[in-house]
Amino acid sequence: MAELVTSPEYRAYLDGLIAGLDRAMEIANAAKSIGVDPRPYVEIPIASDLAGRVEALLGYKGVAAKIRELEDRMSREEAALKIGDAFVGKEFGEAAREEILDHAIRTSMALLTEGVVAAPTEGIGKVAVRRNDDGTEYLSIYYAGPIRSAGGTAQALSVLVGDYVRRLLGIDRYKPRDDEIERYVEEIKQYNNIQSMQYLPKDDDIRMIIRHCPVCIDGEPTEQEEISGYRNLERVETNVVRGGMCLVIAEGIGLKAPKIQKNVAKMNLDGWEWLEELISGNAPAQEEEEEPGVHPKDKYMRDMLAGRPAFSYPMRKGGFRFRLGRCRNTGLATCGFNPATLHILDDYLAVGTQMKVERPGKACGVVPCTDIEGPTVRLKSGEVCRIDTLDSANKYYDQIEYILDIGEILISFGEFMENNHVLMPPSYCEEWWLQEGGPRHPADEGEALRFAAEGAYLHPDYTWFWDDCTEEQLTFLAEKTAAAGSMKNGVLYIREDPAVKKVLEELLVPHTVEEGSYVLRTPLAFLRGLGLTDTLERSSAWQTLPPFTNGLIMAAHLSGLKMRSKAGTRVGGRMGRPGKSAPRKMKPPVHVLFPIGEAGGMKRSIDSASKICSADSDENFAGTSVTTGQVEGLIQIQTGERRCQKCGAVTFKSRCPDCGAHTEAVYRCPHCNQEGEPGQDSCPRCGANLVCSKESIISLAQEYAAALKNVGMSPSSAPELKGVRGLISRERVIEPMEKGLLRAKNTIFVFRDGTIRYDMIDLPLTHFRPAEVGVSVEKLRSIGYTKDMHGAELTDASQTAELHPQDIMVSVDCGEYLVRVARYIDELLVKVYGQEAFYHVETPEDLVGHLVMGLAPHTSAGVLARIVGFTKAKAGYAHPYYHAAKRRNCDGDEDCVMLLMDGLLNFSRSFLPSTRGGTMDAPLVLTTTLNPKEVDKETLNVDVMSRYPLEVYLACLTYRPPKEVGKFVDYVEKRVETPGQFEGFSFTHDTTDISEGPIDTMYTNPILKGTADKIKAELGLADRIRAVDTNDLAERIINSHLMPDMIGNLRSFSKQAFRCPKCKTSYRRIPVSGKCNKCGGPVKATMHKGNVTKYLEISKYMAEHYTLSAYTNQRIQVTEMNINSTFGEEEKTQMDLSDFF
Amino acid sequence: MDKREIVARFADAGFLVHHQVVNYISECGGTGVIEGILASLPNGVTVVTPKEVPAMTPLRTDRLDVGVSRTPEILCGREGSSIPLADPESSYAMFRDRYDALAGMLRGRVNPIPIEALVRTGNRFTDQEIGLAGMVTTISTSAKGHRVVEVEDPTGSIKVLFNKNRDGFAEAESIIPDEVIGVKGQLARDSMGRTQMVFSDTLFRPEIPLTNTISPSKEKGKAVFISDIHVGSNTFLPKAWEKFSEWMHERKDIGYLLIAGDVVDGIGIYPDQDKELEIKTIYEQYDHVGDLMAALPDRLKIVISPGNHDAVRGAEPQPALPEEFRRNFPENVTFVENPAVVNIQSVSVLMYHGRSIDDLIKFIPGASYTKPGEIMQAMLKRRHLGPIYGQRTPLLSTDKDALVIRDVPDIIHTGHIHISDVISYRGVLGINAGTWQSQTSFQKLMNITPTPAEAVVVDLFTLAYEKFCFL
Repeated sequence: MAELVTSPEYRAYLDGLIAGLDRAMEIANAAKSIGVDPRPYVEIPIASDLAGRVEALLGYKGVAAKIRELEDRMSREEAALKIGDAFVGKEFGEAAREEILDHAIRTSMALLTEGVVAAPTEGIGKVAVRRNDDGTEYLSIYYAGPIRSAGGTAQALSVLVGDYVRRLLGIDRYKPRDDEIERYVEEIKQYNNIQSMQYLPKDDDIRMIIRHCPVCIDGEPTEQEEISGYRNLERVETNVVRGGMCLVIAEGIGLKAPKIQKNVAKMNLDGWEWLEELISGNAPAQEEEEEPGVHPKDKYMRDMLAGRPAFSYPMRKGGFRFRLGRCRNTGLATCGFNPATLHILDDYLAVGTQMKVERPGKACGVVPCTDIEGPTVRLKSGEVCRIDTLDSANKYYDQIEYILDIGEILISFGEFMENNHVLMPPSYCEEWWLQEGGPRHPADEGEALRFAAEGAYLHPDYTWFWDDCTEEQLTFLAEKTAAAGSMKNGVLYIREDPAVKKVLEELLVPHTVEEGSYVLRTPLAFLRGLGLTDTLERSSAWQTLPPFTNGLIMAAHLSGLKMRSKAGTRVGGRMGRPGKSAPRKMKPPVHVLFPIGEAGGMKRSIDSASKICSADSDENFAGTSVTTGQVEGLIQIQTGERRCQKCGAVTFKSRCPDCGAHTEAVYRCPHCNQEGEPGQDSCPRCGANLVCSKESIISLAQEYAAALKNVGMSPSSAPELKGVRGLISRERVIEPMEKGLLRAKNTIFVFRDGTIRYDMIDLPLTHFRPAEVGVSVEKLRSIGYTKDMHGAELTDASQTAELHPQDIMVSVDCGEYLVRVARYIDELLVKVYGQEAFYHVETPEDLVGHLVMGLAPHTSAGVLARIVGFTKAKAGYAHPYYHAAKRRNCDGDEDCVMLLMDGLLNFSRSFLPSTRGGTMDAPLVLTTTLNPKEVDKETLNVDVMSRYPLEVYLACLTYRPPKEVGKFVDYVEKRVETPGQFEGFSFTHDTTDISEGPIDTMYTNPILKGTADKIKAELGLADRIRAVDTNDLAERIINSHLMPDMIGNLRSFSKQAFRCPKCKTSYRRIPVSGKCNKCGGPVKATMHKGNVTKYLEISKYMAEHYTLSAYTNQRIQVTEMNINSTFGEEEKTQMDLSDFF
Repeated sequence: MDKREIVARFADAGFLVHHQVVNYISECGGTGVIEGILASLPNGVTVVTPKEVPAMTPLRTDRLDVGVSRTPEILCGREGSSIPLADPESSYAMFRDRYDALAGMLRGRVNPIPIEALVRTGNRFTDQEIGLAGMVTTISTSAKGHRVVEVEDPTGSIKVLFNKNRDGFAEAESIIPDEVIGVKGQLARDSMGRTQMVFSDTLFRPEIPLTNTISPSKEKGKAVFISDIHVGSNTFLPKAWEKFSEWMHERKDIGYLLIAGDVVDGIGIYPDQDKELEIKTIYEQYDHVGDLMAALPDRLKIVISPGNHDAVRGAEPQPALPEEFRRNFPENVTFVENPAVVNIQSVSVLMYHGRSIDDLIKFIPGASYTKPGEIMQAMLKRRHLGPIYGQRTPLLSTDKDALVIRDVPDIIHTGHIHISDVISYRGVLGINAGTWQSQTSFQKLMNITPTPAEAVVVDLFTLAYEKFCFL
C-alpha cells in the first residue's frame, strides 16, 4: 500500500513516536529476557497499518503484504473476498481445506472490522466441511457469542466470504433438511426471548434464508437453555441455543440484506438472487408522506431512569436551541453547551456526561462551549435575564425562580452527515447575520436598527422570540404597552400585570421589575415588532397587516424589518449515563495474579493467607507428605505445570528456582497423563483436551518473605498485598509476587491480563491551549508544539495549537495515577529486572511526552498515543482519529489507557482466560500509526472548517439533506490521502477552557442518598424548567422505571434462586431438604422483601404530589395490594378452632 | 376429606360440629354433603350433632335427597386459604409437601430407597436393581446424546441416566424440572468406587390410575365452561358475549357457569398496555364484568377464579378477587382462588387458569400452543398443575403445594392460552376454554391464532360435552 501522505512536519512527529516505541521495546525485551515472565520477550506485536494489524492479530505470516497489494487495486470489501484466492492458492502455508476456509474467513472479517474488534478471533469457533444428503459436501461455519462485536454487516459478509472460498475449493452448497430449517426458526425465536435482538425476522424469512444460504450457519452453544422442539438432529451438534448463529442470521443476513446484495452485485456472485426477494418482502410499507421539516420525536424519552432528569421535551418552547457549528471539542457525537447552562441545570450535565437527544443522533457527549448562548431565567425578583457565563451563573444560581429557556446546543454539520438527518433551521446567530449583509457587531440597539434599516436582517442580539407567540398574545401586548407603558430616557416602563409578564417571558425579552413596573432597557426592536412608535402609538402598519401564520411574520410586518427566527429548532434532551474516570479494578481489587484460594478470605490478603494454620488442613493435605505441624502458611493451589529448559526441574514459576533459567508450560492429557507436543491441543491417544495444571503445595510464608526481601521491604512496613482466588487461564501461569508488592506499595491495581489501566469517558479535541491543559509552553515546545494553529510561534499559554492525532489529554486524576504506575515501573525495572529506571517522573507534567496505549472494551487492538496534557474534566480528551481507531465515538463511550512500558513488560496472553471471549479487552496488537482510512468511518464526517458558508444556513431553512450541501463544507473525508488529513483543521466556535463547567455530575453526588432523593431532586429541577412537563415526567419515571422494577422484582421474588452462603453453591430452586445438598448448611434467599418494596414509598409520594393518570395511579395501588398479598400483611397469631384437631 | 377442613367449613358457616359428624363426613368422602347438611339445619342450632344429620339418623329415610346440593361446593381454594410463609427460606416445606404427596403415589410401583442410602460410600446396592423417587433438579444431555437427570429427595441427590437407545426414551425426553419421578434401574459406580449414577430401566410418573373411570352426577344438570373474557381490552368481543348471554337465557337446562380466570384485561400487565385498553381503570373493568354477570340468568351459579390479568398477586396460588372489585357482581357469583377444586352436583372440577402452560410448552418436546389438551394430559400424568419453578409461573411459598393434583378430578378446567380444546384422559375430562378476545398484537407477533367466543357445555349426568361458538 502507498505510503501515508503527510507533511514533512507530521512525518517527523510520527517518526518521533516510533522512535520512542522502539526504544521502549528494546528496554522491555532486554528486561524480559531474564525469564521471570511467562515469555522471555514482549508479547504485544506492533502493526503500523491495517494490514499489519490483521496479520498480528491472527498470526498468519505474509497476509499483510497480500492485503496491501490487494487494497491498492480494490475496495476494502472486494479485498476481503479476494484474499480468499490467496488462501486457496496456499500462499500462506495452509494445507488442509478446513484451515484454508477458517483462515480466509477470519482474515476477511478482520479486514472488514478494521482489525480492532475481537470478532475475527473469538467470534468464529471453527469451520467444518460436512456432507449433504446427496453425498456432496458443504461448508459449516460455527459462530460464537463475540461475533456480536463485528456488527451486522461484517457478520453477514463473513458468510459471503465463506461462500466465495468454498466455491474455489469445489465444495457444494448447503442443502438443509426440513427439520433443520424448523430448528432454526424455533431456535432464533427462543434466542430472541432470552436476549432480545435488534431485529427478529419473520418465520418465513428465516426459512428462506436457511433454504437458500449456500453456507451452513452453525454455532457454538452460548446460552443455558436448550430448545425443546427440534432436538437431537443428526447434523446439529447441540440442543443448546446457539447465540452467535442467531445473531448472524437475524441481525446479519436478515437486517443487512441490502448491503450484502450490493456486494454480491459488485462481485458478480451467483446463488444469492433470493436476497432480492427477502428485501422486497421486508421493505417497510411506504411511510405516510410527512410534510417536510422535523417533528417532535419522543423516542429519547423512553425508558426514563429515576434520577436522570429530562431537560427539554421534544421541540418544546424553552428547550435547547439548535446552534449550528463545531467547537474545537465537539463533533464525533459530542455537542457543546454554554457552561452556564450546565450549572443552572443543577450540574447534572458535567463535562463528559452523556445526554440522550431528540436529534440528529441518539445521544451525545456534553462539552462546554463559551461561544454560544446560555439560559434565560426569571429571578425571584421578577427580573428576566440571559446568563452567558459560568461566573454569572454562580452569582445568580440561588436567585433563580424559573428557567424560561435552557440555552443553545452546538451541533456540527458533520453530525447531520453522520446520522443522515435533514438539516434544520438553527437559532439565528451573528456568524450567519454577517454573511447576509451584517457589516459588524453593532455597538448598541440603535446601531442594530440602523443596520437593519440599511437592508440587513435585524441582528440576533435584538431579535426576540416572536415566533413563540400567538397573534392574540402580540396584539394584547401591543395594546397593554400602548396603554400602560411609558418611555423615559430610552427606557420602557410598563405597569405590572401578570398577563403582560407572561408574554414578555414568551418573547424572552430581558427586563427587570422596579417599583411596580416592568423595565425594558432594550425597548426599540421590541416596540417596532409590536408596531408601536417611540411614543407608544400604533403605527400605520397595523392597518395593512396581511393574513399570516406566525408571530415572527407578524412582527416583521409591523416593524418593517427583516427578521429571522431566534429560536430556530428546539432539540429535546435528557441525561444519559454519567461520565467516569477511575482506575480499573477487578472485584475484589487485587495487586498480583497469584492464587491463594480461599486462604486470604474475602480480602484475598496474601499476608493473612501466609499466616493461616487452616483448621481443615488435615483434610487438605491428606495423602501428601505434609504433616499437620508443618501446615502454617502452606496452601494447596492449582497452578500450571512448567519445566526448566536447562535443568529439567518442574515448577509452577516462570523462572526456574533451581538454576534461574526460563521455564516452559507442559501440557498433559487429564485422562492418560500423556504429555502433548508443542502446538498440540488434544491428546494424541484419547483426544481429550490437553491441560497445563498441577496441584502445588507451596509455603506462602516463604514465598512472601522471599519476595519482600527481593524488593527490599521489611515485613512490618509491607503494604497489604492482595492476590487472586484461582487462575482462569489455560496455562495457569502466575505473576512473580514481587510485582504485586511494588504495585501495592504504589496503591495501584492489576487487571486480569497483568496490565494497569485507567478508564475514562472519551471526548474529542482538535485544538488546545497550553493554559487549559496544565502544561507549560516550554514543555510543549520541547515535544514539538512550536507553532500555534495559525502558524505563529507558540509563546503564550493562551494561544491555540492544533492537536496531533495521537496526542491525548488525560484527566488530572488519571495523571496522578499514572505517575504512581510510572514509579512502579521504575522500581520494577530496577529491583526485579535489574535494569535502569525508565520514567523518572515526580509530577504529572513529567509524564508529558511519554507514550501510552489506548484500548477499548470488546476490542483487541491497542493504539499508541502520547500524553500532552491534563484536563480537570473527568474524561480523556483526544483527537477524533484516536477515538475512531478504537472504534469509539464520544456519546458516552469509555475506554482505558495504560503506560506503554507497563503493557510491554507485564502483559501476557497466557494470563487471559481460556473461555470464549477471553481475548477481548486485551492488547493483542499495538497500532503505531493512525490512518483515517483505517479507522471507524464515523470520523470521516467530522467537519473542520472555520465558518460554514451561507449556502449551508439557507439549506437548513428548507430542511435539505446534508449531502446536498456537502460540497460547500470541508470535512475529513475530502482530505483523506492528502497531507491535510492530519493538519490544518479548524473550528467554527471556540471555548475558553475545555473543562469549564461542572466536573462531577449531580447524579453521583453523595448528597443525594438513594433513589427517593434522586427522584425528588430530579422533579424539583423539572418544576423549574419551562421545557419540561413535570407531571408527565413523573408518570414516565413510574411507568418506565419504578413500576417495572417493582413488578419485575415481585415476580422474581416468587421465582428466586437460593444460595448457600458457606460453600457458595447456588440453587435454582430450594432443595427439598431445605439445606445445602453439598455442605448441609442453611441456604439463603437471594431476593428479599426490601428488593421488592424499595420504590413503593416514593411512587406513592409521586402519586400524591403530581397529577398522574388514573391508569398509573391504579397501577401503584394494585401493585401495593399484590405486594401485601405476597408477603402477607401483619402477622396473624390468632388460633383457629381447627388447630386443635 | 381432611377433618380439619370439615371443622373449618362448619366454623365458617358459624357452627360447631360434633366429632361423630366429622367422622361420618370424612368417611363418606365429603362430597356435597356439607352444603346439604347446612341447608337442612333447623333454626337455633349452634352445635351440629348426629341428630341434625338426616343420614345418620336411622329413623329418617330421606338419606338420598340431602346428598347432592345445587350449590357449588368449594373443596379446595376457598377464599383466604392461601397464606404466604413468613420467610422465603421456609418454602422448602412446600416442595417437601410436593415430594411427599407425589412420591406417595409412586411408592407402590417403585419401592423407593432413600437417595442418601444409594450414594453412601460402600453401600450394598451396587449393580442391583433399585427404585427411587426424586424431584428433578437439573436436566442435561450427555456428549453421546443420553439424557442425564439429577433428582433429589429429602436425604440427598443423585444423577439418573436415560439411555437414548432404550424404549421409552421419548418419555425421558419429556422430563421437566421439578416434577417428581420414579425410576427403576441399576446403580453404577465409577473407578474410584464412588456412586456415580443410576442407569434407568423404567421411568414412572404419579399418573392417573388406570382403574380410574368417569363418575358422572346422579342428577341431571349442565355446566358451561369458559375463560379469559378480557373485559377492558380493545380486542374484547362484546357482540359475541351478548350472543352468548342471550343464548344462556334460552338454555334453561344449564345451571352452572365456571370461568377460569382473566375476566378482565387488567392494568399494567404488559408494557404500554394502556394503549390497548378500552377501559383504562381496573375498577371500571370489574364493574363492567359485574354488569355482564348480572345480565346472565339469575338461576345460574357462577364460579370465578382469577388469572394473571386479574388484580391479584401473580404468585400462585392466587387469592380470590378482593371485595373492593366486586361491587357490581350479582349474588350468584362465587369467587375462588386459583387453583380451586369445586364440587358441582358431586362432579369435582379442578379449575386452574393455566399460567404454567407457557412453561410446559417450552420444556416438553413437541408441545405447542395449538394443542392445550396435551398439556392438560401432561399435568394429569405428573399430578401437578405446573411443576417448573423459576420460569414464567411465580409460586407463592406456602406450607402446602396448592398445585399438586391430590385427588383425581372429574374435570380439569384451564384457560390462559386462548385456544379451546377438550380431551379425555383416563376418565378425566380436560377442558381448555378459549377466550372472548380476538387476536392481540402480542399473539400476532407470536403467530398464535386464538379460538375466541367458544363455550363448552358439559352434561353432568353423562359427562358428555358440546362446544358452541358465538362469533
